[in-house]
Amino acid sequence: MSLKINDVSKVFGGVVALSDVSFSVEPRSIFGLIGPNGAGKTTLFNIIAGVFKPTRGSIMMDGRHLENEPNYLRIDRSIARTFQNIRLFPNLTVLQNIVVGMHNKLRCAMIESLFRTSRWRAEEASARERASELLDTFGLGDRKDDIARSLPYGEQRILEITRALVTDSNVLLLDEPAAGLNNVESARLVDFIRMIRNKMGRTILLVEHDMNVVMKVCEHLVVLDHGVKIAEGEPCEIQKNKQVIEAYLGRKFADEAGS
Amino acid sequence: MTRAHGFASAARFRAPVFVLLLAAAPFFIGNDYMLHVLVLIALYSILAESLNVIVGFTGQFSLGHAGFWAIGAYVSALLMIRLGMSFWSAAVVSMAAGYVMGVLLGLPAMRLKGDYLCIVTLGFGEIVRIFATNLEVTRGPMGIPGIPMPEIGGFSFDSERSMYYLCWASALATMYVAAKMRHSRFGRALMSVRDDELAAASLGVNMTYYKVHAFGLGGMFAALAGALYASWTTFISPDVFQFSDSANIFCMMILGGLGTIAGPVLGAFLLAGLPEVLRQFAEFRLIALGLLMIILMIYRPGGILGSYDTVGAVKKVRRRKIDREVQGTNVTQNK
Repeated sequence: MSLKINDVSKVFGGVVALSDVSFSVEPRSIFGLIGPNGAGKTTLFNIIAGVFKPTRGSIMMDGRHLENEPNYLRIDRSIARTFQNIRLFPNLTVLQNIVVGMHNKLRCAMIESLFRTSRWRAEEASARERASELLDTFGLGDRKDDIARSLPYGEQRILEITRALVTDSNVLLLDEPAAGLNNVESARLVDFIRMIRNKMGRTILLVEHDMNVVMKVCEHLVVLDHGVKIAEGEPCEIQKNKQVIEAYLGRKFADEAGS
Repeated sequence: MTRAHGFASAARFRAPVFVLLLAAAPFFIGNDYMLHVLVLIALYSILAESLNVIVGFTGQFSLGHAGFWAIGAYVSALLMIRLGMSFWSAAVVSMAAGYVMGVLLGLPAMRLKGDYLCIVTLGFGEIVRIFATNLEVTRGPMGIPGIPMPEIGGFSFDSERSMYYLCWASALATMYVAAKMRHSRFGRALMSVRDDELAAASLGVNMTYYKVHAFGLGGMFAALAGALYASWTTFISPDVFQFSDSANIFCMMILGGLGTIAGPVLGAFLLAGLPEVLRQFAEFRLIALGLLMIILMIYRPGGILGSYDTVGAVKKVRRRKIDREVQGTNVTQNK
């Protein structure tokens, strides 16, 4: 269940987006990936999620190389993700969105739905039941027959995370989960993320700009700047780290903080 | 808010009524001409519904659907004439041929989107027609006459009425498959690819597989329409399967309601039926139909039965945004 990033580099044409980044994510941790704009967080995130292949280096999950696998196989390796700009299936209902998340667990072929076999009926019923239960838990129960695009932004975010959860993946990659949320919504998000880890035992890796959220929820941080890992540690250490302050605020502030 | 639910229960109520009406219609329609038009509508229903699997469910544009239609017609006609196969086995083989051709056409679709895919599929339709015009076995522009009628245990489908039942049974079967497909793992995967390819892949949906098979299924049912058409008219030639037919089928699907089950059939009634009914108005009917299309696309972009309520959705989002700002919460705080 442990995810390891070994010496990952990524070059786009002449631009070095990442150079030799390594770290490992412990099981059941809430792990944050931060850094100023253009630091390479999203590139790294996309490499872990299988959207890009690294130029060099490897991504390992339980001793298995993932860097050359296509992105749709990440679910089979127990890695699920959400997106920075929320990517739901806007024309499907809330419930259908969740059931698509069970894609890899459903077994019935299309032909069985034509003849309405008992196996198909049982499978559909249990999928619906499980989806409804999960939606009830996260307060979206009375919205399950609504078209997904009609939900307010905050609920769309929760729905997207729920959809990733229903895949039963051990590792959850969250790409800027607090983006676009107001204070109340992001406080709810922090509780939500903690609950996912505490009650469901998932590992969470998140990329985030909102430092309030990061410092509240993350237990371990990796800081990137210009494609290089400049610091790693617990949030309280990172907050005092001179290099991190310099990367975010400039040398002047770093000197003041150091003195 | 519960639109999706409402549509489903309405469909459950309407489907038997529709089937009963179709079954009873020949007893009230005396002349063969009207039945002839209704058979044509049945065939176009199959074509529009099968195109709907590709475009409406999976979101892959295709402007070469007449190509599959032609393949089905030619394969079935040649098997019956040259090899003496029965209509039924010839139809099954032609459906298999349609599936294979769909998969082959779907392969480039993996890499292409939108306009580019349109060009490729358009090219496919033309290639099929040009092959039919130039090959020896298809007798080129002379076409294939004397295609046998379907027969079963001594009963021949040689009357307009018997073909009416056969073609509508096939059309209803196609509708049934499309309707059931939406509630299967397979159909949901198609719709997820349509709505967001990247999100679908992140949930383990192998996009390539589903796109290719959507083309396969679409091609298969279009080929069935082709086999029926060949035996119904007993004569086919390359002129029948023009680009304008592909475009027409596409319009039926859009007009009726993209991604719905009844929509493409309604579109077939309007675009294949109305020009026949309004024949006395000669060329004016085409102008009227064109106008109808324009007006519909402006006021109901999702089609007559469409659930893509684009205008409503935009309004709703805007209202929610205002609500949030009124409550004193700042939406753009983090960005």
